[in-house]
Parts: sequence; C-alpha cells; structure tokens
Amino acid sequence: MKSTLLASLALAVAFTGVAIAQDTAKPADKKEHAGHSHGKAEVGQAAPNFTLKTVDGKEWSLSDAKGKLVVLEWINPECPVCVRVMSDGTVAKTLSGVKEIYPDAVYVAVNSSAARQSSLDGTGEYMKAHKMDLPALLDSDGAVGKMYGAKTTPHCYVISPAGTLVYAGAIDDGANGGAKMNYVVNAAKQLKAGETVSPGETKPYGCSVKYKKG
Amino acid sequence: MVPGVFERRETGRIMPGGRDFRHRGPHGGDRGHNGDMLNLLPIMLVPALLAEPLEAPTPVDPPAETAAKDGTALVKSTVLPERDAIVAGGEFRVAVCFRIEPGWHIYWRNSGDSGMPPSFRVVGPEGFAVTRVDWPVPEVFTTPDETTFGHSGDPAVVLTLKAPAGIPVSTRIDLRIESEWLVCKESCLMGRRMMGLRVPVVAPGDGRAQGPASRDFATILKRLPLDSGAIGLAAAIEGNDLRVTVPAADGSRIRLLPFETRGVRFRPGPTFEAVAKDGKAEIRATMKIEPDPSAEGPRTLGGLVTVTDPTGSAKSAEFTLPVPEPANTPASR
Repeated sequence: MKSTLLASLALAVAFTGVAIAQDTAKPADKKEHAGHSHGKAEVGQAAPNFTLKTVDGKEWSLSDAKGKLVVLEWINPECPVCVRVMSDGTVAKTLSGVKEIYPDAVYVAVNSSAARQSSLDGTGEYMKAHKMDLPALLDSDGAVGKMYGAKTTPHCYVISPAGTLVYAGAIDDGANGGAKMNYVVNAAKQLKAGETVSPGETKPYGCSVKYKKG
Repeated sequence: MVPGVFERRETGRIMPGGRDFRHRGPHGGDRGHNGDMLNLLPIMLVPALLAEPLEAPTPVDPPAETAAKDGTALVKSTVLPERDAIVAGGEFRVAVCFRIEPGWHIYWRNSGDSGMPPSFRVVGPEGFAVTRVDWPVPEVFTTPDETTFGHSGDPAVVLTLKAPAGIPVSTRIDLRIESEWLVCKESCLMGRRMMGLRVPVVAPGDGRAQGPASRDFATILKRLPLDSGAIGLAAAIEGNDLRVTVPAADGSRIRLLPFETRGVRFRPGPTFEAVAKDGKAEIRATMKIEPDPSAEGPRTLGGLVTVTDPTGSAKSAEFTLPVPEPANTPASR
C-alpha cells in the first residue's frame, strides 16, 4: 500500500465496490476457503472466510453463518472503551437493533489482542459477566484481525446474508458518548431496505488491537 | 460562603489530584469522596450570584465523585482563563491544561488508527457552551501496526466558550467543564475530571474582559498551529482528492494530518507526506465522501500541515474547507 499505484488500485476496488457492487459478491464458501482466506477484507467485496476457536474450544467458521447477516465486533476485555460500550448497553442495543431487522442475525465477538494472554484468557468470563451469549472467538495469532484490518476495540464489521462486507468501522458515532447514530444497526436497516449502506466505512474508535508481536 | 458554592482554595490555584478533590458543604464539612452531592446538584448548576467584590478568575475544586478512577490519576488537568473576566453574551477562551504521566499519551482531534480524542463539555451553569476547540500540534506515534496522533507531556487545548446573555454584571460564575480522555501507553485507561473556574462578569468594554491574553495563556496560544496564510498554504478539493500545496525550500518534508470529519474517509492515510521540489510541495490525498444524515449543518473538512525544512525547523498550519455533499446518495434523494 506504500506505492501510489497500489493505493490507487485498492481505492478503486474499495470505492467502486461500495457504490456499485454492494451485496452482489459471492458469499463466502467454507469449501473454497478452508482455514483463513488469503485476501484482505474490503467493503463491497466478499467477506473472506475464516475459522477460529471459540472460548469453549469449538470451531466457528464465517461460512457456518451463510445466508445470515453477520456482525463481527473486535473486543478486548482489558480495553476500557470496550468495557464501556458493553456496560452502557451499546452492544446490547446494537444486537437487539440488528435482530429486529434480521431475526436470525449472528453477532460474533472476536479477540485478537494476543499480546496479552490475560485478555484472551478473560474473554469467556467477560462475555458471561455482561450476559452476552454470543460466539466469542480467539484469534490467537491475529491473522483474522489483520485480514479484516481490525484496528481498534471495538471495531465492527457487517456482512450481508449474501456474504458481502457492507460496513466496517465504529459501532456508533459516540466516541465520547451521546451517540446519534448506531452505524451497525444503520447498515442492517439500509441493507434490508435495498439501499446502499452509507456510511460504508467509518473511523473506529477505542484502544488499539494488541496484536501478538513478532 | 453561599451554600453550594465551592470554596476557593487559599492558594488560589487548582491542582486537581484525582480522588483528592474535596467539596466543602454548606457547613464547611468535608464531603470527601462519597459525599451526598446529589442534594447539591440543583444549586451547583445555577450561576453563583455573589455580592462580594469581583475578583480575578479563580479555579475552584470540583465535586469529588466526578474524578473517575484509573486514567484520571495519570492525567492532571486544570483550567486557565485567557482574561480576568467575561461579558454576558460574549465569547471567551479558556485553556484546559493537561499534565500527563511520562510514557503515557492522550489523543489529538483525529486520533489516527486507534484511540479517541478527549471530550470537553460545559456542565454548568446552564447556557454556557463550547463553540470551538483549538488543538495543539500533535506528536505522531508509529508502531508496526498503526499510526496515531496525540499528546504527551503538558499539552493545552483551547476552548472558546459562549456565555449566555442576561447574566448580571458584578456577579461571579462558577463554571464547570468536564473532560474525559483515553490515556494510553501499552494499554489504555479512561480518565475524567470536572474542572471548576470562578469567573467575574463585567460590563462590555471593561478592560478585564478584553485586551491581550495573560502571559501564560499567550504561551499556550503559541503552541497552536498557525493560520494557513501564515505559511502560504493552499488547499482545494478536486474530485475525490484533497490537494494541498505549500511553498517550501527544496528538500523540506511536508506532512498532512487530516482532521476527522464524519462521512469523510482518507485513503490510505492516516498521514500523507511529500518532499518539496522547485520551491514548493504538493500533497494529494484521496477521499471518499459519504453523506452524514445526522449533520446539523454544513460540514467542513480540514487538516494540519507541517513543513519541516532541511535544517529541522518546523512550522504547522491548519486549514478548513466546506465538504462538497455527495450527489445521488440515499441521503440526498
């Protein structure tokens, strides 16, 4: 991405994808994408498939949710911003808001902050403490986080039932509280209405994802 | 003392120490950390109408429970007024002066790849509001995974406040400004503090509310970016590009840090750089502009441009431009 040429290509792909190819990409297919896909996630393109273990040791693949709206939220139990959006009900409202529109939507928490083993180890307890009965995935090598370009906790992604990544960014516009728009619910709403998801990308806020070093 | 009004410290200087804040109640009792502040809230939110002689602005102790734990202790903060008094209906400036524990940093208005900027809010009295925030030139923090912008040491953020009309002359206002921040090193903590400032209200034309800024405040203003014209900076939007040009000695390094504007995304970002040649430098930053349904008025985008000449001397200036609203979008139909 350092050269102008590469940057231009990436932009052309991303921007054209949002405007024209929304929700038209082929859904992720587990057979085609065993393990982790090689491509980077781009809004407007097929969401790359991945398989991770849950805190319970079970395998979870994006392709398992084929045909359903999927929300990925990057979390870190040791990030105070994550804790805040969980504690103040933002995550619960996001989940219920999405489920109102897509009752079978799948909301998944992903923890890529493997630089801190305590963060990974505390994920299950964190979800239980906040009464969030969701798949909580451990991205121990950070490969999925980097594939999706997850920068912060929280950082949210919305994947359409057709498997297209339609939104990437902040959970809402309330970095300092007082949110006016929940971007994740907005994306689900616009998708359901057949509209282009806008904004399709926002700048996420929160702690950096503490990727494993080296 | 009038009941509910925070007592002035003998030093005449505030130095909030996180959980060390103490509120003196109507009877002089130390309410300490868990005082029953709820009973006093209605009074706290009303301007203090005092019959005492007017004095210079005085930082005052905020309520104890407003000092949150964790990141609060890592970041001290005080309020410094630009001048000695304010005028009803007028604008005035104060600086929020931070002192950050070494090794830690807070964030700039655009935090970069992660983080979030501090917030500033006037809690009371009713009718006062923050109308503008001026940020000092940030540092750039780069790791293999990300680039962020922020402040370490003792940054000061300048707030422009609007006073409501109709405040009686010769009264004093107990201004309460709350700031919340994310402070990070290898990990991050939230901090929050309510800061108090007692400021007299004078008649329009009174010298205490106009004229040069205090010496300390003038020093803070010097740490703010220059206006674009001061370095010959020109910025324009051309299609999907933000084009920034600036005259500079050959070999100078130019860096653009865009401000954060809702619905405007820069790619690849978060910084854009160029090297001056033939006496000028140009940066083209590609944007994607999407509608902002919750915008309350015309949007602006802008950025901070720093020119570092070959000797290492640096100047920073900022610019703003109106955002061209995208056509043929769901929001514009």
